[in-house]
Amino acid sequence: MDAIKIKKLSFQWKGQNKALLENIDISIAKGEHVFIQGKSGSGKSSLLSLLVGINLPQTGSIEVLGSQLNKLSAAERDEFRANHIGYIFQMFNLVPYLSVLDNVLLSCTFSKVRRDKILRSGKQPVEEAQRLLAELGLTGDEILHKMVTELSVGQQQRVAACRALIGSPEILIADEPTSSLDEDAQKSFISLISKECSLYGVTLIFVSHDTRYKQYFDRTFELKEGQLVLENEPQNKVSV
Amino acid sequence: MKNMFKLAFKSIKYRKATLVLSIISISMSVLLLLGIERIRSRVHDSFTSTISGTDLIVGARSGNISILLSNIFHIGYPNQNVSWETYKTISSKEQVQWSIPLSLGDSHKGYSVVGTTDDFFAHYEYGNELNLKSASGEACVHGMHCVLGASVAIDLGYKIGDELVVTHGMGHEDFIKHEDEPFILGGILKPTGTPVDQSIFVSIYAMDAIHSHFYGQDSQSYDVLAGISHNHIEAADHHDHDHHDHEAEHAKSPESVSGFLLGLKNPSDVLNVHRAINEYKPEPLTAILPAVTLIDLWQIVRPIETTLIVISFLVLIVALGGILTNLISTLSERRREMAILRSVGAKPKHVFGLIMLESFAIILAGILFGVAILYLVLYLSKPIIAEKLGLIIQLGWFSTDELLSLATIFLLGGLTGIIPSYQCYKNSLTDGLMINK
Repeated sequence: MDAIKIKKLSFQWKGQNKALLENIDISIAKGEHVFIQGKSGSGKSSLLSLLVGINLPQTGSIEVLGSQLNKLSAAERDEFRANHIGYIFQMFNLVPYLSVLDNVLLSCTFSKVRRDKILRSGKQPVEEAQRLLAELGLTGDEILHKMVTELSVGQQQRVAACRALIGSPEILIADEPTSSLDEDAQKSFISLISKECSLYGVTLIFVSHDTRYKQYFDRTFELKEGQLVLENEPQNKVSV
Repeated sequence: MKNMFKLAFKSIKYRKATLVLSIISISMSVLLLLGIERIRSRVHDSFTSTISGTDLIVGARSGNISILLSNIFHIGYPNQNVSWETYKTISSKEQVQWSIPLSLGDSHKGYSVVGTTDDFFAHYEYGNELNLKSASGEACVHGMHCVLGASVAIDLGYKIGDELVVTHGMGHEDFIKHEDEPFILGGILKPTGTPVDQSIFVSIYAMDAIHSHFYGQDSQSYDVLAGISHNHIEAADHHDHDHHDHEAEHAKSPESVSGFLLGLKNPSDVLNVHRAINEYKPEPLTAILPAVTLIDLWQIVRPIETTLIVISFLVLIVALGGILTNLISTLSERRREMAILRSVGAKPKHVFGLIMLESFAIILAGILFGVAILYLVLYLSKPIIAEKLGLIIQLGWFSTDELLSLATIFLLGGLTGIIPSYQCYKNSLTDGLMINK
């Protein structure tokens, strides 16, 4: 079964007369790593807001994990997002007044499903958060108890990744998560989340204007003039 | 919900530097509102119990309020006096337990001089059954001794043994001074917060004697004065405090009194006696129930009360405006935070609730802080207020009115929070997960 199935989707913002996304058809398999490339203003953010169910398309349908998002109410979509989708922003991913640990646990705060998944594995959410943080190289009391604003940008993005991954969501969406990092950090961040997603079988949707890293993904699409164009399907995905 | 509280709490803690100002401004308005309310209700209580143990105040036929004003507050003169004979007749009615004659019209440096008897100090009550007590000297007015209210003594700086000359009429201008017959200061009363503090008490017999002497109406005036003085010295020697009867026997009775206070044996007789006095045939009289007339009189200052309350509510609104601007000004920088919360599955109602919780928490903190300051201020100023104003401020629990004000503040503050909360709610709906704004 596909993780995401989009059929004949068209979308335009209220008050604008031209559709930003037109007639998009795409299926993404479970566990697939997809790179979506697009210049700013190409509709990347709109596409993501449709995928996470913040907005609904005017025509067409989006099916995520077998659920038709356009048939759910706004509250149901919020709940669906909380339970099944991890999200990483470009920058400033963390709530400034929460500790590193609390930022990670935020996902469990709003999703009983994710919390229960952790509890069923015999762990407490705090333990799981610490384990994930350690897996992403964030250990030690110093980091865990620092103000999140005192962390380096790279560390902040890794905390955000932990928050997105905790409680094993099926889909991870990363919206330009590396654009605020330097080159070394970009590479290690991409390799980290690819590795984590492979490890847990998470479907990864990675959005960026920077095409340098597309070879690490199963498929690459380009968002151009409202269309999602399949650009390449590397014979051999380069593993990082 | 517990998580929302935790979030709101942490958010407030994070923003404490700016929020402290909001909390302080709220607590100041709470302090002002409750402080005014508490002083107002104390002043009201103290005013309406200016005179409490007295069942009836009697004067010549006149309006209720004017009898109260002239006899108790010493404002204005009674048009007519009551004859001594009538006073005696009514005081000797069987329902009457005690009576105190009052003679007004003289003054000393602007303070009214009240001619009365020692019964005044025995039976006059104010507040919650409080008696007059002397701070120094003795509270008795036989012979040429006089007793000063607390404020008079402080303002004029008199000490026991000083001599006072009484002026006929009111005012500082010395129209007619009874210079040849000075009174000797025998006692100073403790503060009461009533017009007693502003009064000088002398013997009604001595007062009458001075007047008779001055106007030359009585050929025997010298003898009268001599009799009074002599009598007092004799009495003082015997330390006999029930000697006013002797005095009354020896001294000539005054021809009339300005009014008199009555205490009844049985309070249930009040209405009967009241009617009997108002229907008294030989002389037109008016009797008033002090408690009732005091409340009527208080109605006059009602607008001032209302103004005070309105002012403190305006102050509150300004403080709430402060919170509002504070919350709204942080909203644009919080859009990112809201997008993060939305990304982990927070619903718009959570976003709304978070800001609401925060505004309620700020108000609550402001209220608690304000109440704490109020009690601290009251506690520290209690002795000073009691000393200077004669007002005894209770540190007790809140009155219903105060609880109502607090609830109003809490609700108004919370409702103020609706504006930023709604704005944030709307932002988070349109922003969604877009935070690149």
